[in-house]
Amino acid sequence: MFSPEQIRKDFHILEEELAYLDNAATTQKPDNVINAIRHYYMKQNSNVHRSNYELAELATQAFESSRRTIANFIGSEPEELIFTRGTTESINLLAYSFFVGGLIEAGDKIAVTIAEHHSNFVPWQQLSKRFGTEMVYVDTDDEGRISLSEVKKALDKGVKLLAFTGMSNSLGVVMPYVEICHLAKERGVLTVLDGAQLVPHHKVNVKEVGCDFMAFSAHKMLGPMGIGALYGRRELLEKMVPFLYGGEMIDEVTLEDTTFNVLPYKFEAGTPNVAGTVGFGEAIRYLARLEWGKVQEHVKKLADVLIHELERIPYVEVYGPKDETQHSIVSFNIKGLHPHDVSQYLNSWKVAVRSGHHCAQPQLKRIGVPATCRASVYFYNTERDVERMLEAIKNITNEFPWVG
Amino acid sequence: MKMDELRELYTDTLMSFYLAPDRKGKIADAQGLEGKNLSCGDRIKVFLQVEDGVIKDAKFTGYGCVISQSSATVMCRMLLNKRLDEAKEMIDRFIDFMQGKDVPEELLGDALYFEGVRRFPSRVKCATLAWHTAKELIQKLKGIQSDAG
Repeated sequence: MFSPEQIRKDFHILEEELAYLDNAATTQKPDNVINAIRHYYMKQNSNVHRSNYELAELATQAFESSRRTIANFIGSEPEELIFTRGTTESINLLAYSFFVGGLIEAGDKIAVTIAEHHSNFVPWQQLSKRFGTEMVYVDTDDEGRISLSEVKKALDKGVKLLAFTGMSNSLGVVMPYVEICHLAKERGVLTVLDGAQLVPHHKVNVKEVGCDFMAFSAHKMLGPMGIGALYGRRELLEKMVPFLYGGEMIDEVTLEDTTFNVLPYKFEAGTPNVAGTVGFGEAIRYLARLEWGKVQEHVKKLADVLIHELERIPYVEVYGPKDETQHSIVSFNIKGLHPHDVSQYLNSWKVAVRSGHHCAQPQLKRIGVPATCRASVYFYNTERDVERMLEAIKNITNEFPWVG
Repeated sequence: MKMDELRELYTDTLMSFYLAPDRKGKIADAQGLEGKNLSCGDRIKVFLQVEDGVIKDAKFTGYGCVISQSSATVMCRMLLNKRLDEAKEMIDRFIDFMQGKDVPEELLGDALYFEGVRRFPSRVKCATLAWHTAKELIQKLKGIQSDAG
């Protein structure tokens, strides 16, 4: 039985009287994740894949068991799951490796949507600025949706690669990612799916979705910061050159040349963040135990209450499609007040939301605002959190009388 | 609720500056410079009209929060009729003050109204955006002056 009240007991930080509604930035961590990291350092810490004493075996086992858990969760083979520092590093790894290894060459076209987080935008844009690839932009509509016809239009310009988000971080739009991957595959276009917002909310099986690559971060789904993953289709990863060079990723080093380790180690140079992977694996175990249908329903319901109640307040403007495609994230503005002032005001009500451009300036520019307030819900939020925020917004004219 | 804390930040005086932005607008033919707050994406453009090393007019354009807009208003008012070197000194003093350094209160004038912002480190950037921008512009203008001289 799914009960947010029960679930909150697993999250120490939520004992504070705080409506934490900044989950798109990072989620809180349950006890089992914190304990697993503590346990690792107390009982298992040593370097992985190095030595054969018992402690080293324990660390390696913990590391690889996390990899199997996470791979299993997204339906990939463990060898196809590379640990990185997070979504940003995963995408930078791809941009670097594609170009250096010749999978992408000067003159090739790369398509991205304007709904992207800067981390799935700037690496591709910089590639074009510095090395002569060409950018093709997929536009959204006024609410931040991507239509399949826009995707087709872009793909038919002869693009080699399409990088797109499964769920936009500024407006919470869940994109038709399965259909988009299908369109790309039909045309032989490589796909990079940014799963940073999507994977915490939707069970994504990479084989069923059919993406070539997917990047995601642990900290947006109960895990620790500084650890994330890149999924890649095996035959592609095998063709790619490493991103970072150093220890762990080699097969044999001579003065003349170096051969590289097998997957996934070829892409994991240096001592990894083992404690991070342990926490990541434990976060996935926690998520895997939840009833996902109920979880999604709960998150959707809370976000919908926010959307509809905010819309009824005359001085509030809510962005995004406000339909079944919008999940968890509610971006809005108060007329006559800057989002920074709104989030500061909400803080005095013990409501935590983010304000700013959310690292998605092209999308905000497209909908015609420089910044928004963004409330984002996760499954441990309750009606109480949402009500507190709504109550605060309804009272904002007491502090800022010119609003409205 | 932490309303008292909020009111320390959003004082009536700051709100009145925000609501009466009498220094807002462009100055035709004057030098302008844009400044950005990278953490929120806000932009402000400061214009200074200088004659014989004295600021004859100061205005700003841009979009921002109560803190950044009211601070820009106060700054532009305070810059009027200051010599460039005086203006630079005044700006340095305000930035020091906002960063928590000891500055004699009597030297701060209306800038003292931003004292409450100092308790909110994430908002100090909002309060100093216009000032950093003006400082950079003054440096540029001084360069132009010395080139001419």
